[in-house]
Amino acid sequence: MADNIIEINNLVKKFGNFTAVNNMNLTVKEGEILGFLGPNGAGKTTTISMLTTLIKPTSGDAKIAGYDLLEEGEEIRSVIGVVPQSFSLFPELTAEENLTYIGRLYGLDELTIKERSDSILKRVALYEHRNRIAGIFSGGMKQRLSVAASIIFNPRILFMDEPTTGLDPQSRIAIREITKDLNKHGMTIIYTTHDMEEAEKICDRIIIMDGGKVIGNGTSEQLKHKYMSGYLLEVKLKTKIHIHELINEIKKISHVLKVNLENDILSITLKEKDDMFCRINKLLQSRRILFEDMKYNDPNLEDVFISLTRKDLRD
Amino acid sequence: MKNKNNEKSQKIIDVRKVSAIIKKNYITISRDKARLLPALLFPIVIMLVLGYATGSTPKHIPTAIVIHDESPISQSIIQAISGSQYFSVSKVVSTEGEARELLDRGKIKVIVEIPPDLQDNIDNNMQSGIMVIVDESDSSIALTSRSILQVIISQISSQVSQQKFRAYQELMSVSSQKMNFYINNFQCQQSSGQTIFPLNYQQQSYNSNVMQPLLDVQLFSQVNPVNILQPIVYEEKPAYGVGRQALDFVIPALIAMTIFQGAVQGMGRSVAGEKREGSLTRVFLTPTSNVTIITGTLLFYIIFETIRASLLILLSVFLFGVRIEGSYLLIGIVLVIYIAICTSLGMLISATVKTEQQFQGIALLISLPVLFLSGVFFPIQAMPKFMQVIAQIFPVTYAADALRSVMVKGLGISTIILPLAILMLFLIVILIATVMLFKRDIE
Repeated sequence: MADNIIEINNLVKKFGNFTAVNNMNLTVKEGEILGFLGPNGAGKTTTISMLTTLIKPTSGDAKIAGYDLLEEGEEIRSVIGVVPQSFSLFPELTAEENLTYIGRLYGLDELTIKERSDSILKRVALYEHRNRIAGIFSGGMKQRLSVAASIIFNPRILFMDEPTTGLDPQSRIAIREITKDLNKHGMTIIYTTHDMEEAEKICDRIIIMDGGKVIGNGTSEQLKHKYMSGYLLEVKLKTKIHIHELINEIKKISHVLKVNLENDILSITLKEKDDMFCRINKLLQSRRILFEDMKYNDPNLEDVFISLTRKDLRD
Repeated sequence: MKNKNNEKSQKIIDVRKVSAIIKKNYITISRDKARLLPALLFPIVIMLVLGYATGSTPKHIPTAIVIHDESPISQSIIQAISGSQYFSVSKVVSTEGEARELLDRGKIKVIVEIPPDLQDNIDNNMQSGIMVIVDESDSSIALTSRSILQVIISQISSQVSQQKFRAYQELMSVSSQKMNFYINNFQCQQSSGQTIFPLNYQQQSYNSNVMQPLLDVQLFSQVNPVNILQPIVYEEKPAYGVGRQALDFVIPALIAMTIFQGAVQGMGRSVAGEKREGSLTRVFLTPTSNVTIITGTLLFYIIFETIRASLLILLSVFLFGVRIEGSYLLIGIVLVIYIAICTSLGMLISATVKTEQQFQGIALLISLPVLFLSGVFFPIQAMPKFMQVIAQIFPVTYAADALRSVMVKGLGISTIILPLAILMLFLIVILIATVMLFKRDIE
């Protein structure tokens, strides 16, 4: 069992009367990719800002890599990397100069900076552009440079605050691959996103936040099972007829919870999958009912998310 | 579990990081031509404009009068000057040295020196000059003092001239009476054929009624008419060196003002601007202490502004023929201290605001009074008393003062010790406030 690299205890942040983070408790294991999901204003960025020492919590405490959040800010800053939401490098400096400057601020020696900046720039596919000034980079390039700057000193924990928001698909994929690769080499990653699919793809565990609180915590599968009941089998019928008997017959089969026919779509909610696919297929064929398609429609994270937050994503 | 490579102790000020910040700022500013060019052009434009700008007429110019005797003519000159609304005679002293000291300390702006033998010279029909020394620091004060004193002195001179004329007229009429008397007497004696008076008396009468008047007439004919028409003239001695022009005195104030504007704006771009861009957040995320960030940023701008001020001085020497009298080292010391104040002030403002807009608002609020109270556009003496008091709370006043003393007047460190001490005090207070108010909290 890996150690907890982050332990958050009753963390609260208030801005005037508004409570952005409300009594948060959470642990993060070393080496995992933890996804932070939540609508805008859920308190994700505020949480990240507190954990990265940018803002002070109103109350509560946290330990990051063994350091006390309130007392040992400088020590914490020397073990965490942060990819902020928006571009936050020096537009007048070239890609390489940006990395060199940040490296110096982390106290690295010139040789290490040169070695690491070369290898990281290659990794984020910016090596060819290392002598161009960052201000004229595209959004995707800027974000990759931002990631590069965050890992120049090989941090133990990397916070990524919506790193793919507003990027083209190629850049999104590139950022995700870099993230997975970093994690493979042992880096713990806290990843906030709006994108359910992305969270499902790269995160080991997902935290769902809303109204400053953690309302869901687990792997994508765990969340789905915990918050969504049953499996959905959908059959697209060729003929648009209402057969009452058929529906009643299906309902009699064990494991079937609910049957619904709307237009030409027959939706069957099942408790267990077992061999239900075959049984229903057989039944339909014996009744000579023609259908175009039959497939399981698994509840996705978005369903979980919406059922938990009771609202649509606001992007 | 603590990270091993993080056991190095946390430094309050890290020299390597400071130099990294300086290098970064250098690259940033050298690539931002749109920012660099106006920064260098601004003072030149101001200088050109000021070459032709004028202010209002000053009144109650503090003046010292040097007198060596208590003669009536000295008294009437003192009365004429102190009776004028343009001057306020703050000191009557007996040596030029005393007056010069007052001038150096800025207590007075004008010295009027009455020569010791003024009365004797007038009596002996010799022309005398009233020596005037004017501090050129404020061009309109110098201009006003000159023209008003010329008028006052020529008025007194013409009064004396009239008196002398009347005296000569009287002398001539007495002489002619005496000669008439003698001639009448002589004719009487001849017609009667007898001597009325004894011989020795005749000799006496001849001496006093003929010889003396003849002598007086002869003397009068030999008098230089200019000395009678203009017994007293206006003379001027330069306050410091020779051939000073008004611009020479504006330059120090201009430098002080330009540095203020440049340094405050530069810091705004550097700190408030980077806050907006988010690049300062990136720096805050690194294990770099506030003092290191402040020191690195300040040092760069102190170097940058010092180079800019030096360029400005060079330009004023080559373009406008300004002459530097004092020690370059002393000028440098004053400049660096003052630049440190301005950059720290800019840092203080940008450290306490959240956005660049807020910064601009506060910067403008401070910059405008500095612009007009610097003495570049209007002499401070021409302003109402309360404005002069307000000017005392701005470091620009002391810097312009100290720079003027050294650059133009060529004075040594002893004369600027007070403004220098006040500037140091400003620096310390602002630096402490900056370190205390500098917030990492990005909210």
